[in-house]
Amino acid sequence: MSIRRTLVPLAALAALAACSETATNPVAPQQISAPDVASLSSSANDARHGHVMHTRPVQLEAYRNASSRSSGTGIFYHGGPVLQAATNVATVYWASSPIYVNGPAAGSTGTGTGDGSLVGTFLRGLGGSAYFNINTTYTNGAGVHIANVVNYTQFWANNTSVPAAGANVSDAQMIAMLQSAFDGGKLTYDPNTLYAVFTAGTVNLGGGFGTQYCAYHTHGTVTVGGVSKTVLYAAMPYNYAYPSACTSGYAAANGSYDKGADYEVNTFVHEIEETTTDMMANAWYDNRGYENGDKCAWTWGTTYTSAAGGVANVNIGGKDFLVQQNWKNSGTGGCALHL
Amino acid sequence: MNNLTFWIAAGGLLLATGTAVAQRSSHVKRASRCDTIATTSITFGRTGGNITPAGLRIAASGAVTSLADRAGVGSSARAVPVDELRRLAALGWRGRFVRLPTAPTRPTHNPDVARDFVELRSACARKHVEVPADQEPAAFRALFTQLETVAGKPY
Repeated sequence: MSIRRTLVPLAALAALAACSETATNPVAPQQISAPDVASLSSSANDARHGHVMHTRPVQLEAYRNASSRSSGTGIFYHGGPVLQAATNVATVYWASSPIYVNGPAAGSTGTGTGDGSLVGTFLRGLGGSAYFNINTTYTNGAGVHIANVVNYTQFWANNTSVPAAGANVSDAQMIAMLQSAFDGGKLTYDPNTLYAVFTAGTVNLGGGFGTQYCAYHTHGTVTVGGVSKTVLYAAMPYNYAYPSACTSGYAAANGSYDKGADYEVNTFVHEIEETTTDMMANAWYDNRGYENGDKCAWTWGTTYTSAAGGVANVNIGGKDFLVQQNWKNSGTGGCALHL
Repeated sequence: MNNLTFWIAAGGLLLATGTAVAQRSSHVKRASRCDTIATTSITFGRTGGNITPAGLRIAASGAVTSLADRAGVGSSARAVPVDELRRLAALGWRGRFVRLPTAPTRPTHNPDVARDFVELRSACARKHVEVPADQEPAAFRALFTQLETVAGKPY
């Protein structure tokens, strides 16, 4: 019996040790990382799915999502504010003449209805769309869902102190320009408004246009009525000036009508969505610091040929557009075009 | 349980244990033969932010390929000498690069600014690092710069 009592536990221990995978592994442990983006071939997917554009961006999407899908929706709330009740948008077209076809006349101000450009059409139709509805899967700190509301409230076609082609325009200069707008009554200040600053040609808003980014959103401080206020703004340089870095590369959805506006809308909506859900960069982002728009940038989902012969994936305000997908914060997460 | 049953059970258990140990030993030998340096491919370029992704991939053979262009077709551009590739692979796997974190864990100063990335992938392991262009650690920049020198600018 003594042999039996000794042998059985020893054998069991030996079996456990043999099955363990945590013992001496000859391969140095590495952090679990996402797939090699280059190894995720897209051509086969393209063939299977026809109009589903699986190109470089899909590889990137696969990479971005690989780690963040391990639990929940893949994006997390960090306590900061969101634009819950509505996303208000004001535009500043900072140029000596209209940047986009049928855009506001130089020097004019008005409400969103006075902007006849494709950018204006898109903005007026964005609220209530199935596309923007994706943002309703996000909540504020009290758990209240973001409303599917976008208001194009005002514009200013600012033709004063216009930056020259190629000139670097700093954030301080953009904030100073917005300050002048509030001081001069060109725009009304609102803490829940995203002020989108558009420029023409190669004006380098922020200093990294075309090499580091095609657009960005951030916030600054202005003084209104003698009180310091946070102002949300987006730098929106003219993306068509750098087509290889800042456009989809596909035929513009509205043909030759205004390619600049067509391509601009894609990066613009990226900034609108991120401002809505992460206005101060402390609300919704994933474990790599990606905001909702970042997680799906340059991915298009299912597309179709527009009436103008271009490539589109949504119809907003009665016009076809090609816009990136957005990350949905429901189910197991994922990039989507509508909800 | 009589003695015969006990000894049969104990013998079976020992046999199973021995088989498992042998299999594990075999696995260790297989993994030990994995040559991290010789099987490494390297991808590098830019990712993230609000700008199109771009990059180059150096296969373990040294062939350089652009990440698929918008038409979904990669293009073979040039080749890196295998010895040079292995030198860079060794720099990646054995230097400070391999200890760098994979990515920031929160939005960077400007979340829409692209990040540069380098990914090493071998038959044995994988390492991916991405960092904002203005915050690159020296070990990352050193490897990235040398990759640009031998394979060309990724964007």
